[in-house]
Amino acid sequence: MPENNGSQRESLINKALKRTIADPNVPVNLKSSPRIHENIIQLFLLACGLLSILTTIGILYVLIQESLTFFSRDLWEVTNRPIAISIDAEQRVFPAEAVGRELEQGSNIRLGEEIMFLEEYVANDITIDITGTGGGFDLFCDGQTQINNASRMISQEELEICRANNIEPVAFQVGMDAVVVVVNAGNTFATDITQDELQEIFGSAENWSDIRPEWVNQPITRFIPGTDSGTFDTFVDVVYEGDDSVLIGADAVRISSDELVTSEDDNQLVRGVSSNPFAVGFFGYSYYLDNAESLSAVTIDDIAPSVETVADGTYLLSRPLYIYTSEEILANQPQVTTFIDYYLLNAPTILDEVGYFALSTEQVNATRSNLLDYMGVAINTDEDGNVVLPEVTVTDVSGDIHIAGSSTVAPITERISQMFKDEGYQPLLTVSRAINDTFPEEHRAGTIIEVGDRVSLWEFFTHDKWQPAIRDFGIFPLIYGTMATSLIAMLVALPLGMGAAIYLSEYAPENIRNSIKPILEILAGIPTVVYGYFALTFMTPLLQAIFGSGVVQIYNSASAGIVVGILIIPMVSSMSEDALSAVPQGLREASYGLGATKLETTVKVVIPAALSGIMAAFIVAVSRAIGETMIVAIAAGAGPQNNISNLLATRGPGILFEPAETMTGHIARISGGDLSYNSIDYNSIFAIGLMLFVITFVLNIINNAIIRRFREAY
Amino acid sequence: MDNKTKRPDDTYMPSEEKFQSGLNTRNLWGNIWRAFYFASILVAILALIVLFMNVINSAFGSIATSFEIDPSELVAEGQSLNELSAEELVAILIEREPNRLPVLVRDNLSILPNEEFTEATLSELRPNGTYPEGYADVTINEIRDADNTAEVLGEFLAGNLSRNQILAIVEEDIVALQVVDAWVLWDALFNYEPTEEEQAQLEALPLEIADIEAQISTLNENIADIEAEVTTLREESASDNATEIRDLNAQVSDLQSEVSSLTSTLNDTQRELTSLITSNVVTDKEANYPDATLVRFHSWIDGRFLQDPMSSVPAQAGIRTALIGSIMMMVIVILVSLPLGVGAAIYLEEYAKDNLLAQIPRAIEHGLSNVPMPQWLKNRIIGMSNLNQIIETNVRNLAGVPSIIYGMLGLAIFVRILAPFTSGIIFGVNSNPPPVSRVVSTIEEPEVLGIDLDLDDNYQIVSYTGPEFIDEAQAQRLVNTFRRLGTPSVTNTGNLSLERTDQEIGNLFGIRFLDDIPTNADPLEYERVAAGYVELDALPMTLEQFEALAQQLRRITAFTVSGRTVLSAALTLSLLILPVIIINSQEALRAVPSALREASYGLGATKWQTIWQTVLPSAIPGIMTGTILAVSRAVGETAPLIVVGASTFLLTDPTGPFSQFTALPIQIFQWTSRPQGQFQFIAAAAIIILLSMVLALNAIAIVIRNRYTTRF
Repeated sequence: MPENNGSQRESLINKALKRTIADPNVPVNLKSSPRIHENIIQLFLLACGLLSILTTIGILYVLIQESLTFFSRDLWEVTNRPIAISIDAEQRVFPAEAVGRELEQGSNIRLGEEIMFLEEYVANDITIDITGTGGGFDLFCDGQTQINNASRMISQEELEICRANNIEPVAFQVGMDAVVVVVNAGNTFATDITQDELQEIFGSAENWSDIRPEWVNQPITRFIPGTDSGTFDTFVDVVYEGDDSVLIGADAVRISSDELVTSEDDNQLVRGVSSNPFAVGFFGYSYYLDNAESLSAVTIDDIAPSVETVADGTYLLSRPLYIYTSEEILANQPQVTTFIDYYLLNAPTILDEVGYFALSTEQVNATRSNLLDYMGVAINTDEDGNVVLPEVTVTDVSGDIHIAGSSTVAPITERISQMFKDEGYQPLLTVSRAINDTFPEEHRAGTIIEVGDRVSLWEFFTHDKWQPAIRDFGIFPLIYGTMATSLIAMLVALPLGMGAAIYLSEYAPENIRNSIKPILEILAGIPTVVYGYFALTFMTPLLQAIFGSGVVQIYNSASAGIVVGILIIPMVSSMSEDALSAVPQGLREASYGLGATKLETTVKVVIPAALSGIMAAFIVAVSRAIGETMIVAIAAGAGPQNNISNLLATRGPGILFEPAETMTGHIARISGGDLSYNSIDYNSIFAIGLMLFVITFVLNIINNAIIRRFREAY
Repeated sequence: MDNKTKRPDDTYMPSEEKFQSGLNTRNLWGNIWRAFYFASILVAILALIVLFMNVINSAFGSIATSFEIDPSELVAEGQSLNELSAEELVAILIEREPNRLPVLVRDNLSILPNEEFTEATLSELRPNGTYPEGYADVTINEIRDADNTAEVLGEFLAGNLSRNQILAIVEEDIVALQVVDAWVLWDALFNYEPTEEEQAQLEALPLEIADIEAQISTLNENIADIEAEVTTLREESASDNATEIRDLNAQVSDLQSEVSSLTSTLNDTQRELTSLITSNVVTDKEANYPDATLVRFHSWIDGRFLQDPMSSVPAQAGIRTALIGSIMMMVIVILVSLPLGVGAAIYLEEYAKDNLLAQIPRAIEHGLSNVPMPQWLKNRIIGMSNLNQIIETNVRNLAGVPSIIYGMLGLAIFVRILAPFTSGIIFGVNSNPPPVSRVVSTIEEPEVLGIDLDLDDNYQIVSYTGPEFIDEAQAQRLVNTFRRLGTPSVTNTGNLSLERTDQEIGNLFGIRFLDDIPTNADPLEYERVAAGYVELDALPMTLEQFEALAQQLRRITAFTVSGRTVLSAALTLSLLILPVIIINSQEALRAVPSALREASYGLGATKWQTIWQTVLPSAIPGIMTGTILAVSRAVGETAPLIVVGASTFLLTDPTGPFSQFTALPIQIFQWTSRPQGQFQFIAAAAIIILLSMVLALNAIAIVIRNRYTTRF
């Protein structure tokens, strides 16, 4: 061995050095290279090598430690939601728990309204508080505010209180709020429903056929906005007359039937409904408009949501939005009149932006005429018959304006207020959503959900549902997802990768091989997130074009699997080609000499001789397919497939066109979310990770064993 | 074997004829399979081409833009906004939005908190600025009362902002350009305008529809007439006119069926018209956005795309922060993984064969030679004792571990356990950007606060030292709140001091920062949250106080400035590519012939001198190639970053290793997952940038491999 020779020589040289160390003719650098340095360097290099061992130990430690926590922790959890701050005129930070609730209400209609506040409004002395329509009327009828935002008409009771204080309320309708019920674009049966049916769909019904016998016998999957949202409130108000227990269910049974998904993120609702043909959901109309391609809106009692039906209120899930002031204020406080004038002038232009609906021309005219009556101005109309409001000169008026009331209307009022301020209005203008010292009722999100004690290993491996939200942890759906995509990937990659390898090694002329191999290298070097994009934007539409978009879901195992297959073709082909090329030429020539054709030589001589290398390539490829994350996270669906047996029975192999989250996809999705380090969700991904690690590790060991045992040496 | 002994005869050898015909079949199969093998290659190449085409198709294409005010209205004939000088641009602002000027001054020039803005003089607002003559010491309020408010403020803006900044303001505030719709490159190239045939149909179909509608209404009138007649007849005498009524009813139902068939034709025609309209860009845009301007060829990648930070509006979004994050990570990854990887490879290749550790298994083998135990057990024990062999195998195994597992390792080790290190706390560094909101970022010098609470067994505060705006009762309320909410940190174990670097104490105050926001949150949601996410129960304090408290907490607790930093991500990626670098470097070292080493020894060099001066230089091209390929893999790696906690929406540039970060692949992932169409286009644009980086790295690697590799 040359190394041994080397070290022998080295020791000889060293001995020689020791003898000649006093010799002044020996070069200086030789004298000053003590062995101790060499040893330190060697130790450092050893440490570098040990780092890899440390990495493995680290991985095992982390995975096992967190998995142990997962299997040993108690299964109850107090969920409480993070809440935003609120800021008032004096820039004080407000009771967050109180404010957050209402801030989120506004936000769900159009996310991000509040930030505009935090940024824009603080500087303009505008307060953001909570009240709601009712609380707002309390203030209004007490004379504390001049304008009240209201998402409903004033009630008789409130009216009487107002009148007792000599306040005669005047309402101006400013816009409409609408919620749309949507189903998947592929849903052809449920195009119209009645109000009663709507109650059932989001209520007690389990299957579509429970509602109308002619509809499919498939479970209804419901996607609804978070219970703190204004959209949710509107829906419950209209459909269930304010009783939300039917919808979200005080009883755990309702929650545990896995066909209800709530999400604060409307995008998730859109994706949820558009990925499941038997899904139904509701959200703000604007979100539907943004995603009208993948969703279809359900008509209610034959009335479709549209600008007209919403404006005249014939569409069930719509409600008018008002601002209230009083006769006395209109008469004596010109700044309020001017503000309302400005409001009515500008509201139509911003309603759309804020996520609400414009009024019909008649309603606008009626409201405007109403205001003109109070202003004592004659009603003029332009050539189109629209009532003309006098132009506003903001700087002419003085006096503060205080507004409170419904958080549903608040975004409009706030936007108008901002514009009003920008026009140059100097005095204090406040838009309140809350009374400072009221303490809100307990958050619903703080509810304790208690199911069983702990996750047992038995449950983990045998249960067939994975639903962390209700503490249901059976890994099977995730394993299924991984198996489905990997299987398809291997079906794609094995024949094509092998074919490519055989062509390159046995058939291709040298120059073609030299130009094709870099292409395969490029294919192998493309980041997987790009493949994910490819799967979602090309492969899925392609499959939908071939098999029909009703059959192929937007997120599905097949598309992800095929693209994972493409990803690992280069790996299979390059490893197999190495194995094939290693077969000595003599074997081939012997085969030719016996009269075999090239194909026969390849299939009967070369491949068997290279079998160990080819098998190793396959196993590495399987391991890679199982561990692949981004493609499946993007294209295979964002929820464990908890409905496998049912789907298998009804759709057969078509189940591959259904969404199914894989182990890796689940880890990525959960850890990409709001991951609290002490939650069971956090622990659970490590348990999945451990499974994944064990699977790939075992495959690796098998691979090594094959290489070691079956390698043919030539 | 029989064959060897058996004499070949006619029954064994096929007849000439049979052989020939068999040969044809065999050759046929050979060709068929050859075609299949070739097709396999073609599929792979095709996949690559389609992938690129697909990305390019989305990254370029037509867009329809609209604006509130047409820029051509703002400028003289034949000019464009870009040609205007700063003064002319300000003139436009003064003319169009005189009332917004104070706001613009506040947003762009003021360094003061907003509430002091109106009372401040211009020189206080912006020290060392250029002021309109005679106005340096005049307050904003006084200027507002004057007649020439707009002119003065305009001059102030023009003097202190660059032309490009003013242009940006004009474009944002006045022109307000929006992309209302977009089409892919394919449509822009091939489906841009209707063909003549389609044009003819586009004109014909509405007429056809009108015609059918007219027919339907005539029929409906007929039906109404007949029905009226039926009613009259009924009223006269139903029994007398029974036959007549029956006939008329039959007519009605005939007509009705005709109407329904016409209606379905109408629907078909309408659908045809709609599909015709949407089938090409021009008519689609005309139908949906008649007022918008159509740009046939628009590149979603442009200078702005590279320079702008993220935005929730696709057309305004850029990849600046992501790009910077990716590059920073790469630098750290190279700095960390190259020395470690090469070091390990040198150890394994040069030292491991004959060093002390390698003697252990030999000694054990010798020791075990007389011990009666099964051979496989002996082998196993010897194998276990061979640390070098274990390292070798382990490196190979690590190379096969899914990348997401590394992400989990990074999350648990770098982000959590090593948080004080990866967040820069122990270095006294905290370069976390302040929350994005303008409201809170105006505070320049936060006052330093100390908070210290001791709790007794009943969670009552025994002693409390803290800022004056939180009194003891409020602090107690905080503790109670967090106990009620189940925050685990509040235990009655005695002292609970915020000055301890206890990660969960940050939790006690529930201060949530950018890094705690869900990375999959909607960007707007993120902005909202980023404005300061605090869970203080009934705790009035001013924003400055809040920010100061937050700053302080960030400084003293590891948790709040969690380890979700560039450094954590880079270390995770380094571990991920380490095995690849080790294996590649080993190959490169192995390729250096031992004659070189021996020559070096022969000249009297020590082992390390030989490695450093002879072996490494020869192996460097190979090592570089392997390293660059590994780094190009790290650039595109997404899954571990998601797990480690990359931000998906970051407006401020990362400033160093201890910053919040995001990366290009994360951005692509985030945009790809959004349902709205325009995000797919910018995702494609970002993919092109990422692919260029990856392919450039690959190209460099290939060049090095081909040019510098020494063949021995």
